[in-house]
Amino acid sequence: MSSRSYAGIDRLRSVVGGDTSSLVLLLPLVVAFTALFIVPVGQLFSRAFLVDGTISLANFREIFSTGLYIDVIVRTVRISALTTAITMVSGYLLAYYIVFRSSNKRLLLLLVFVTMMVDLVIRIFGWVVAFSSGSILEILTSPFVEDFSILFSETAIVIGLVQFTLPFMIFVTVGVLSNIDDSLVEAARDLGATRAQAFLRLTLPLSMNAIIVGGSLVFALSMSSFVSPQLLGGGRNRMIANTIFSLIGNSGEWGIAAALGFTLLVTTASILVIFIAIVTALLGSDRP
Amino acid sequence: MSGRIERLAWRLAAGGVLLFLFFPLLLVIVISFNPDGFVFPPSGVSLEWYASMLNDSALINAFLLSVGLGIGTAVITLPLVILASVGLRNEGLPGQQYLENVFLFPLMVPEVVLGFALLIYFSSLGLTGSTVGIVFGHIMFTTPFALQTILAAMKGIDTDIEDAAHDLGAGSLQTLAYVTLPMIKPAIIAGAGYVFILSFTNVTMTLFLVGSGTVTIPVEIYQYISFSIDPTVAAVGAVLIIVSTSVVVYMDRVFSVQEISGF
Repeated sequence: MSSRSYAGIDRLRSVVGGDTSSLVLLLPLVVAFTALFIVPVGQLFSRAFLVDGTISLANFREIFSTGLYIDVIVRTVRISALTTAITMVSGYLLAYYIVFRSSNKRLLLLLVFVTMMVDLVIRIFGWVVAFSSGSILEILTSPFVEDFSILFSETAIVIGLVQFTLPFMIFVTVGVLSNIDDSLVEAARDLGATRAQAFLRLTLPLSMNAIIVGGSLVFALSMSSFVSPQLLGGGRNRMIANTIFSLIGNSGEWGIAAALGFTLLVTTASILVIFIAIVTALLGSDRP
Repeated sequence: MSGRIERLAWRLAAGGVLLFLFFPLLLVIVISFNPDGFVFPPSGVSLEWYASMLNDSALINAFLLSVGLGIGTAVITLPLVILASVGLRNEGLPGQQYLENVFLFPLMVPEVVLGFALLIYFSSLGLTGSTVGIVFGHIMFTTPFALQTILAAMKGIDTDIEDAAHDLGAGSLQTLAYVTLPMIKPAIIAGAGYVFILSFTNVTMTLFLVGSGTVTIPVEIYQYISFSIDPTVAAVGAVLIIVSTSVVVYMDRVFSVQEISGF
């Protein structure tokens, strides 16, 4: 370790001169980061725990004793879990196709990236139009769907969120699947494994990281989503972020809003810890 | 025979997911040319909504502001991130791994929380609703993304080349400017494009930072949609789809998309 770090410093000295220089180079970003991220976010969360200048959990007590807030938290978790399930399956599917079955990986990735980089408000606007009555979607689905009233429902929010989170899942999964050695799967097939067996016992466990990282990312993005529930869910289907936003207009409620933001982070992190433990238990033991 | 069916099934499934991803974009483009607005099927092709967009000075001003903010954010974020990456690739630096991860923290904090935190913070500094405040927010928001792209490229550099430049008498700054930076030029261009788009399209955090005279284009559209559904938004949407697509295609020409996304 010491010889390695010594070599590192030596190398750096030869490039920028002097072993303190890397700290100097980092300084501008550290200052900007502290001033624009650590201080504001620290200040906000301290507000959650301070009531009239003293440390108190009153804000959290209010959240967990008010039916409205509990409903919002439960709804947020429900919508995010459903979104994560749908996005993980369909995202994995497309990523698998891109890595192992397509002839133009680069073009397909570019297409996915384009959908990710277009303004979210525009994409949501597209869904609002699609869900409105008389839309092309209603015409297309009229033989199968009798009552077409998706707009301002949880279904609409989930559809918007799946479209928003899919590219993230696809990129994570493509990254992981690209590193799997093809010859392993071929060897398994040569030894008599069916395609399904090779996938379930080899490829899927080897891509456990895609499920953990991709799934966590998708879940976290859904939990903190704001635009989709705001424009597709209407007033009756608010999620946590929308509730925080609606509290901000009144500065007397800032403590509650800050506490709700903190609750959002902690809830997301706790669920992810459980999710990661379950995935590891299911796929980890099956590793070849 | 079964191989053929399997191939077809795969194509249908993959095509279905891709179609779902593109569906809202295609719909927006079709409506922007539809003289009847949201009514299907269209009775013809018209540029009516584009004309109405060009006559809306609020939309035009918001668009120009967003382009300026995107460029300004890239111009400030990139140098900060490039300098920091030169420092961060040095594995001998104490706590290097921790620092690298600390800079990714903003990715984990919900945008609503980031925006709310900056709103309170800026109100004590008198920056509420100012362009400076928005740029500050965007610098913080885009830093983790740019750092992932540029640090990865920086770590891939063959340091022997830099050592050689140094041995041949180049000073530290000369080596950085003439040897190191040219080697990671593709990553810098891609990183700049990435920062520009992230700033140009950000809505949730920016919603907390804008003032009456500093409304960005995504926020303007957001407020527009919240108020009424109008095909003019489809015309703006089609223009924004073209802006984002061109930047992405340009980025892809110098750098693969998979590397930009940082996964």
